[in-house]
Amino acid sequence: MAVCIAVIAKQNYPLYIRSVPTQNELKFHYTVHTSLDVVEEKISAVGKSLGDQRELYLGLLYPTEDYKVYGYVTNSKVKFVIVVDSSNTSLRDNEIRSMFRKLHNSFTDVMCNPFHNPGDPIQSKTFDGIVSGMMVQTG
Amino acid sequence: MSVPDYMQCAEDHQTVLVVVQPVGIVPEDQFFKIYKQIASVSQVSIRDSQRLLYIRYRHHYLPENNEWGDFQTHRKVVGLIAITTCESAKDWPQTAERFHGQKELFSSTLYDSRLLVFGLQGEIAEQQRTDVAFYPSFEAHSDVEKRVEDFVESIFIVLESKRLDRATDKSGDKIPLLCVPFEKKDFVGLDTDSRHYKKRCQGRMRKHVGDLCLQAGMLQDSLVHYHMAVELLRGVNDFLWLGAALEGLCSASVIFHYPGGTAGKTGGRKPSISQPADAGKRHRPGALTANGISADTSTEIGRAKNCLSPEDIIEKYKEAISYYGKYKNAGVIELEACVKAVRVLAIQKRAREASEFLQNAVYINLGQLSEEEKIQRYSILSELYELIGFHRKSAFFKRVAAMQCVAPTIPDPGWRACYKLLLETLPGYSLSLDPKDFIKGTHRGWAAVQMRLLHELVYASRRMGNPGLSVRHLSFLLQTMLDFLSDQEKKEVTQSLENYTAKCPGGMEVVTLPDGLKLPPVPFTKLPIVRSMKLLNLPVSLRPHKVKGLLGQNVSSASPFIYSPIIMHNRGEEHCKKIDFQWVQGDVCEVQFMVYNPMPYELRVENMGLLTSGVEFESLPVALSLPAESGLYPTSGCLVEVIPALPRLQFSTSLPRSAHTLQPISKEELSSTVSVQLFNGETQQVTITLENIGSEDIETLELTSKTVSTKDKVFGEFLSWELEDALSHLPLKPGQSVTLAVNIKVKLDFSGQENLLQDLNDDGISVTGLPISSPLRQVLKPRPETKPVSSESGKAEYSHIKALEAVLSFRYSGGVGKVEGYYRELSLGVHVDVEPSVFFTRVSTLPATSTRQCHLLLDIFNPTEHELTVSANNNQDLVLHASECQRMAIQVDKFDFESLPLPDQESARFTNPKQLEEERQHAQGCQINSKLGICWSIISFQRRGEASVEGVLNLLVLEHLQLAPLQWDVLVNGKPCDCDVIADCKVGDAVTLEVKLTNRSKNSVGPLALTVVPYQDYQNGVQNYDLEDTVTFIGSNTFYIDTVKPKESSICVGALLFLCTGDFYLNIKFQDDSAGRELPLAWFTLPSVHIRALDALLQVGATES
Repeated sequence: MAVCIAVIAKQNYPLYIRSVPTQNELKFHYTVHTSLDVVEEKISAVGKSLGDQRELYLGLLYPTEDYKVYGYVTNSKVKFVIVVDSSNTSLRDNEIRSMFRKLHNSFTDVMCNPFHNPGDPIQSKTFDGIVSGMMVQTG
Repeated sequence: MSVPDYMQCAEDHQTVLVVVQPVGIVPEDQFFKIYKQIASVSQVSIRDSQRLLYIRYRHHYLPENNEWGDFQTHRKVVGLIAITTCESAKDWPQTAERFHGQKELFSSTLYDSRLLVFGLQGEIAEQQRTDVAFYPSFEAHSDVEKRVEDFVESIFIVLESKRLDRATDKSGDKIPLLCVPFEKKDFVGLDTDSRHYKKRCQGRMRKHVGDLCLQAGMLQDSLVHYHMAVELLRGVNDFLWLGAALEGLCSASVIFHYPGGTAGKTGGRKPSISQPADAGKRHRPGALTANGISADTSTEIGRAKNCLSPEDIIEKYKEAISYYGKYKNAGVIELEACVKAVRVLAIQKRAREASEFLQNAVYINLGQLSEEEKIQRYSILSELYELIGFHRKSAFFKRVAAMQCVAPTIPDPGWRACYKLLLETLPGYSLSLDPKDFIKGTHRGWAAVQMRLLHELVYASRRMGNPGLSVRHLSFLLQTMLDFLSDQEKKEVTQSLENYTAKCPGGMEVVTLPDGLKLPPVPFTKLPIVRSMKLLNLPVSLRPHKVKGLLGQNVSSASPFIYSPIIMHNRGEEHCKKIDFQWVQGDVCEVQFMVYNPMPYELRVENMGLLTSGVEFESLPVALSLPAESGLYPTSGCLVEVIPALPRLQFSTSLPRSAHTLQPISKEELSSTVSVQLFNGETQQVTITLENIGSEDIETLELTSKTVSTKDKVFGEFLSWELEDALSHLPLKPGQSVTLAVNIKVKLDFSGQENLLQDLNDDGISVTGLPISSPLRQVLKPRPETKPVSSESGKAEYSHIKALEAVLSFRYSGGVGKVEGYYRELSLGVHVDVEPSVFFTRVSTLPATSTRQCHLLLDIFNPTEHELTVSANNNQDLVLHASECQRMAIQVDKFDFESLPLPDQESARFTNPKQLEEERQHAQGCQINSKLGICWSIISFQRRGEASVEGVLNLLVLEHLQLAPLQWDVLVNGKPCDCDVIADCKVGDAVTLEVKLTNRSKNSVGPLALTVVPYQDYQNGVQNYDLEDTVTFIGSNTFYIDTVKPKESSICVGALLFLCTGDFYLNIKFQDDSAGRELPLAWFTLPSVHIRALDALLQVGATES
């Protein structure tokens, strides 16, 4: 499963970021941060062909030696990034998609909370729970 | 070949490589000057042909790389330009030797070479050589370009001949096998006759010819050759060369498609004017054949088809790179191909594919790289990412490069370079070093990443030996990332900040880096958190006021409408941001903060100031210490109005200051308060000295007073002054002073205290309107011995001191502020404790013998503890002991209140009747007071004052004191006759009795009938009315008076005849029916007439007795 899950605001700052080997969090920050370049590139490429029903799922953003980075962009330009271990070959594209969908649903719930201020970091416990469910369970 | 040239781009394939090197000792700067000049000849148009030759210059080239020249001819050094100095002719041979040595290095590939000799003064004995040029000095180099062009042309000839040689070389001759250095050993002992081998040789040669064609400016030919090479090499699975052929194909296509070049600004290729023309030429097929150089048979076949489409270019690059990837030793070639492809993709704006190429490039292992190479590699990667718009990735690699600069394996870490590179990463992490960008709202960004970067900046700058910079960065880190720091981190950061600042204190000035980057100061607006900020207004006395009269200035001129709700609405929003506060130029003002320390330890604030903009401003910083986690909002733009300088006034008074506060007015509104203790009715003069302590002239001064409303009624004017004298001193220069006298006069009514009245009533003094006809002065009955005791206890209740307060306001202005319409107000509170002096417990009247007069009976009480003397006009002094009450009778003429001036109609209309009545009473009281002139004095204190009866006058008393509007005069024998006057007459003479009525009332009176009844008073209570034989009337004893109109008078005359001597009284009565009952009875009081009838002879003696 995922090793890092991040939610990034429209203005490209993190709303939520969580990774499993917590001791090396910064590395994932860097990974997700640089992946935004690709996300932006992909969005802008789609934007050129107007009227297209945009596919929210961006697919594999880029593979690194150890990880694969997947992206997903909501219609409100909120980005989800999931980093999975490269060694985890059993994971299929469909599974990644469903993870994103789950994430998106949960994110929508967070946004529906009248007490949540859009643009603030996500602190919802439910959302956290959903994310935990998608993360690699480290013994 | 181990060192990649990251600057390479696709169009470099069409260049010929020329190495420019110094030989012997050449000053570096001079060398580079010449090098630059040479390098400016980057493309040469070849005579007699329409082709262009592109030259790539290098001043440093590894011979190792040169060995790959067969593989890709642009890697081959074909020309050498050596630069040397030669002082004299005798040095020449040595120099020439060196030049030859240099040539040897590249001898295998060199087409031609040149030697530029500078500084040779004399002649050289040796014969002229074409490859050597002499210049007397480094300055005289005007024909260097020309020489280089000639040189390039000679290279071209060699190149062209080689190309032709190889291109036509397709006979059955044996084609040599071209190979790259690492292949050589593999081919040892290979069957050279095999078909496979031949094909390989052919393919490689084709590829080589393609390269040459490309270099010689024959793009289309090269494409054809490359295509053929690809076909041939694909057949024999010669992947490395297949890759090269594909890359050649790509390069040629790129050159075709993008004549502007792909290197962008980083490349050495400079756009030239001839470029478009040259591009056009390439497209002209005739140009190739026109010069007679016959190309391959296939030249005519589908030129355009041979060229790859932009998409194909990328495909072929991919393919080529994948082939290169098969050979570990071709890593550099692969890497360079990647870089070239990325540049092409950047031009095509296909960032994502470019990033894939880059991603691949990252993983190409070039074996053991030196640290410097690593740095270079990361920098280039960063640059390329930047090129395709991946700023974050670019920043990432730049940071890696920066870290590489200071890798622990490097013996001499380049902190400076590291710092510089780190700074360049800032935009990629969207981090600005200006704290102002962080003021608004919560911080939004990649805090973790940014914090790391800041930490690295701090560390790098410290190691660089610039503590000032690290303090600045650390401050910035603390200020902007405070919310993201854990307690432990906060502690660490501040700890290190403390350590750094110990060496180099932080300041508020902008730090400018050598490369021009400015680091703005970092004010700790979050440390401590300012919970609230309050501008402490100037003391009221210094607060400026706008002169209200200048209303016209306030009216907005923006709108033609006097009132528009829309504009008002907009204004309202604007005003929100503006603090209602006015600051006077040149004055010190205080700002109050409530601060909170969010840090888990004590915070010492040493320099707390304000950040302002707009006006020059001097902040007087404060220092304080805050314990941990005790006591922030950034002070975002608020406007404060600054008013031009105004003068300042200070005053001192002759009275002592007091801490009294005037109740309805808060203490701060008053500059100071004076207090004085006075007895009721006393007057005291206060001298006020006004001093100008400001720097502006005082030009105007106004003085007003306001009595603080008390429940007590104040009689008379409390404060009075003469301002003229003070005003004559204006304008008052700074430092000057002026004095002013203010009179304080207190008149209060103390009598209204009920307990006191009750107390006094016990004494049984009851005064009613008894017809006592004699003046009466009744001394109070001595009180019983117990009485003083009880009065002592009662005293606490009634003799308490009353306070009277007023505010004196000095309004002054001057200088620039006055022009702007501002003034200042200085207020002096006056507090007077009024002790009761004498007061009147009761007032009553007794009619006097004359109808024009009456007796005013005043019960005067001395509530003080001192002996008092009370005096009144034409009356005896009365001495009152402490707490004594005495009655004083004063005979007064009745008052004609009607003659008092009436309040003017205008004001009367707007005041209610009750007020009018009060005013009237007040005027009456004044008149009575002035007439009575009752004064008291305390001898022991030498104090004196007036006593006022105003407060005790009631309506009844007033009525008694008032002169009746109907004035009756009785004249006997033409002499006015009043109570005390005895009219004399002779027995037997007719006595004329005249009754005159003057009507002063507003209505007409009458008609009236009067009856005169004579009687004799025996002074024993018996009155004899039976006087028919002693007194007789001549005519009727009844007088009739007709209607008397206002302000008119009527006289009726009668006569009496006294038959006997004696004292007679005449009682003039109204007949019941005639007197207008609607009028008060007091109006119809006539004096009783006392007539003494005497014998004519005895008259003299009687009067003497």
